[in-house]
Amino acid sequence: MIDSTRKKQTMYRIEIDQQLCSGFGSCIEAAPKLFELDRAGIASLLVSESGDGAALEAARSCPMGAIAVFDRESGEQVN
Amino acid sequence: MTSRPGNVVVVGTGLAGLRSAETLRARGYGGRLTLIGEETHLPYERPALSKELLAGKRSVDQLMLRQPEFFREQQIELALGRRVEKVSPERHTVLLSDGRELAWDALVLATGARARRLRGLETPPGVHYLRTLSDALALNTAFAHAKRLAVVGAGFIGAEVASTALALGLDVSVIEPMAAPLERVLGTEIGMLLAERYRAQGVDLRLGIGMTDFVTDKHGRLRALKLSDGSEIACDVAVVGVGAEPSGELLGEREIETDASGRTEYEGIYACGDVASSWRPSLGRRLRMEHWTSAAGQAAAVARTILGEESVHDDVPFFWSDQFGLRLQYVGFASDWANIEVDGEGDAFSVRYFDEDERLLAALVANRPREIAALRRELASGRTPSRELELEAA
Repeated sequence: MIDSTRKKQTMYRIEIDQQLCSGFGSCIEAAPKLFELDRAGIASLLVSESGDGAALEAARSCPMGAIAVFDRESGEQVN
Repeated sequence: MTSRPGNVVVVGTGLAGLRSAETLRARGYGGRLTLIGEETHLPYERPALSKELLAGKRSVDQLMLRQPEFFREQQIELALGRRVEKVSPERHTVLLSDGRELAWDALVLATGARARRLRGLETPPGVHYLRTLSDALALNTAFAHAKRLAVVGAGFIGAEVASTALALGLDVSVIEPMAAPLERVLGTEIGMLLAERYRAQGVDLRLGIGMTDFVTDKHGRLRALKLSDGSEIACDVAVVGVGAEPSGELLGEREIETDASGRTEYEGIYACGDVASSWRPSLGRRLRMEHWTSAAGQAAAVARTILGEESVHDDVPFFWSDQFGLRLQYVGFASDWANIEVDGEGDAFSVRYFDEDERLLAALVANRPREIAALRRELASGRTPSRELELEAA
């Protein structure tokens, strides 16, 4: 595997818009350590900050665009 | 395929093409990987074209699905602005418009669909179709100088463009030959619910009437649409949204038939996305869908299958549309139904479509995204995989 997502040591701040989430669960597939589905089937965060590049993959995989990932230092949205 | 391929060619840089390429890498594929696209742009988010891009809320850069360095890092060779002229299933090659011939062990056709054109009509300057980023940019420029928009076809693209244009301050007319917007997908009753909303927000909506011609001024510029009753609708820009046609001509077809894993009838050739009519075990039929989630899911299944991890895409169909302050989401599949149930009204409602046995086939949800998860689960649990039918069809 050619893995480029983990080489940076950036810390990410992750947000979910739960009004947009429609429970596809693609974020859980992409980043099982960061997301879970609640009883209603809506995604929630296991951690709000992480250095795991899988956060970006989760944001990209979301059909509703409900996940936003920010660089913690700069505050800039990076997904 | 018994052994892993060492050379994969993907044709098409839409979501399905990109997703199959990136899934191949993510699943450990280390061989050669080429992504060929007719458009000169890197892969971008098509759903945003009629919404955020047209509204000026997002830039072209913000639409890119991956940055240029991603393709370098993942060693995905890009051949953009090139057509594939010919596929040879026997020799396992593709011929490109630049004269190059590429060999493949596995070939993914993600050639998508194109906007259906009005036949037999001259389209003067001012008449637009909307399918690609270039189309959207051209329309963006046209909107900057336009006052009156006429939309031909009240489908999803037509409704989204009308909604965006209205918010930008244009006068908007929409003409639709059917009795209600989205009648075939949602039924007359729900279509009329939407029609009332379009009109309440200021759209001049003409239903049950077709257009016969574009009317131009003495400089040849669009001035009006001529309708089938002889009347005219004044406009200085028009968007034609009368559906899409699959681009399956590389295999001599319109749409390309596949099994549930995306295999075509040709050894080593796969298809996914808008061009693919794929077998749906739970529905017991083939179905071609032009949905984001179908393209993504099929592409992932194709990539895994190429790598020998048999994988099937049979998720409950889903699509969404943002228009006139409504986020519409639709789950399931209903080409026909016995009755519907409406809950709520105005800005937030849901509609369930049932067959004659009171089984839920599909649901439309407006501004109630949290209901979708439960509906999808309900639809998934009610399905009966039909292996026998699949064998028959194969």
